[in-house]
Amino acid sequence: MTIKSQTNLLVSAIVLIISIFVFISTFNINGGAAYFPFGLSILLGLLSIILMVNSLEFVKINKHYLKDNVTKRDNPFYGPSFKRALVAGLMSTVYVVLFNYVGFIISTLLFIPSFFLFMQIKGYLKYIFITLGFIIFIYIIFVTILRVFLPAGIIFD
Amino acid sequence: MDIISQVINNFTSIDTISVLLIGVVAGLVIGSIPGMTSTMAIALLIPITFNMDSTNGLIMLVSVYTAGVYAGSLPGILLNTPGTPSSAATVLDGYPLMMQGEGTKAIGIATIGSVVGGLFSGVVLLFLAPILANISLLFSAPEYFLIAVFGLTIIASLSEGSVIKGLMAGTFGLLLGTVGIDLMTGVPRFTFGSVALEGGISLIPALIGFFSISQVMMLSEEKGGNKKLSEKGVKGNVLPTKNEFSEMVPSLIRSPIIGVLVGMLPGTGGDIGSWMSYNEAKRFSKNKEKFGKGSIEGLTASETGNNATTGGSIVPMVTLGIPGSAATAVLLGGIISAGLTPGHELFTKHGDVVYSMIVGFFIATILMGVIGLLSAKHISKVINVPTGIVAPLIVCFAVVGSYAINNSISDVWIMLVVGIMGYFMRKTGFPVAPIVLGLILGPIAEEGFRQSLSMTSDSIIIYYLSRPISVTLIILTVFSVIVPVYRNFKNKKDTN
Repeated sequence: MTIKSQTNLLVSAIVLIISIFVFISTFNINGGAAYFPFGLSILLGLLSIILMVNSLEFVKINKHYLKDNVTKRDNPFYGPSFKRALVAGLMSTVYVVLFNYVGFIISTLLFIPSFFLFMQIKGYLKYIFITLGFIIFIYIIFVTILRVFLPAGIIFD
Repeated sequence: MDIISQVINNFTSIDTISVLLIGVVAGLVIGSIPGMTSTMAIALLIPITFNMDSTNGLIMLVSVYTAGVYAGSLPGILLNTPGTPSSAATVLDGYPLMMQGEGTKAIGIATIGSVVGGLFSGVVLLFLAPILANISLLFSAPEYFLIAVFGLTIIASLSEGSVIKGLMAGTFGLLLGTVGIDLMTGVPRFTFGSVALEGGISLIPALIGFFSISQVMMLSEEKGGNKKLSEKGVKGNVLPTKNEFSEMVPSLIRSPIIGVLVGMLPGTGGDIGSWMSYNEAKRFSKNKEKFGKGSIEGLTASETGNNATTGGSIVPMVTLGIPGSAATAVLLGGIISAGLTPGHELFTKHGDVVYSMIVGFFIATILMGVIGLLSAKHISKVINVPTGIVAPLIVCFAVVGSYAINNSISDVWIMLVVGIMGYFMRKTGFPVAPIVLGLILGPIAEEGFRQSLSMTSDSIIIYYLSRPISVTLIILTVFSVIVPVYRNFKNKKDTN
């Protein structure tokens, strides 16, 4: 609860910046198309200010408690678990890049075993069977039956 | 009597039974793959119907439609990834139930809700189609705007603790809905020169990203991917107990009506039907605090509402030639390519075809329920699969599913960016559901309001107040905002 107020401060500041950006951008939009985003940017800005004020008040009142009792470990963005989540996000990003350039088959062949390694999955036979099984399943359902074509990549193109 | 005997004759044919089965199975398989909607399933199977008898072709397509809408609940319950947009609300309570070890029960409840919703909408389609079609013609831009506003009033109650954060998330969702080329003026908004963003933030990739990618990142936080999704295991029966069923009853009565009414409005669909049903279930519930944590009422409402829109959306399609949803727009293509013309003549000159299609819809709904209930216990064993195996497969499904929508890598990027954003939102206590609601209802609200402005030269307020349906919706919206505030005030007063 206490660390959340500090996080809320940061988030409300970011959202306020976004709402100001949107507000300014609406002046470059002609006519009726600007009204809705204009109104929403004001609403979002007001809400972020309310959150900011609430969080500031809480932090001010609980200043000494926060100083004595809250450590870095209470921060949701601190520590190995957050880093692991970031790595998972990064691996997914690399997969999407590869998906477009080298195609579905090769990118998936690389991604799934890598993620298994990252998640410390035991049993290397699982790596082979699950990866190949998944690729074949997707290929049959999407490409063969549904005729939805997946990227072949620069190698097979 | 002649039509009745023709319809009965149709269903004694092996061909008809076969296409019905194929349609249900195809709908279940395709609908359960994230990114693949029932609309896509219908579109993909239409070419197959060209070589079929028109009756059998239509029976297959409606079977795919109803089964596809239901099947979207399965990955939603099991993997926190809705298979179709109409199952986004199902995730809120279906997944928590699964994590509590009640996955089998959750699938059972979703199945019962879907069957009840589907059958109710089938009855409405059979007996009330022409009347409801005329009512749907009374809805225009002002009413669409007010329906969207009414739906948005629930944002505060989806906020799980911080109303401010929920409102911020909802407003952000509304803003995301403005990205792209404005349909009324052709002006680009927040596209930053990107062609990919000119079409706006696609709903399906956004849904997949918000729910599935953020979930994968949450699952990855813990070291040791050999742990199961939930240590609670799979327990219980697929059918609800007597007490649980009594919890479901209010939603089973209310949600089909909402779903049919929403479904018959052109341009709406299962996603709006399910959210509105969920909204109303929460509004009237005596156990509001359970919503979002595994509420049987919430799960029932969402699934009953979304399947009820299927029959509802077929009403204007067959009577007026106006599709009630994206799926029925494609279905309309199937009807026209079969050489049939929607309208009154469809019921008189081709009565056997239409009524066979409706009976096929009934049977397909029951069949999907039977298959769902029989396979629930086996499907829910997904919970025993280690998180380290599930996580990358979810990512792969999300990527492939997002790509398959428009064969565009831009949709995949949108899915990924939104997904990572969804993770940060969840970590900072911002609920995801209001964003999704804003993204769905925002464009409808904006378009409805701006079209209303151009429909009258008088004061817009007077124009709205001159329309009886608009007045009804305004009263409903005002009540929906005032009543919870009043109740809250009264509770605080009683506590003091």
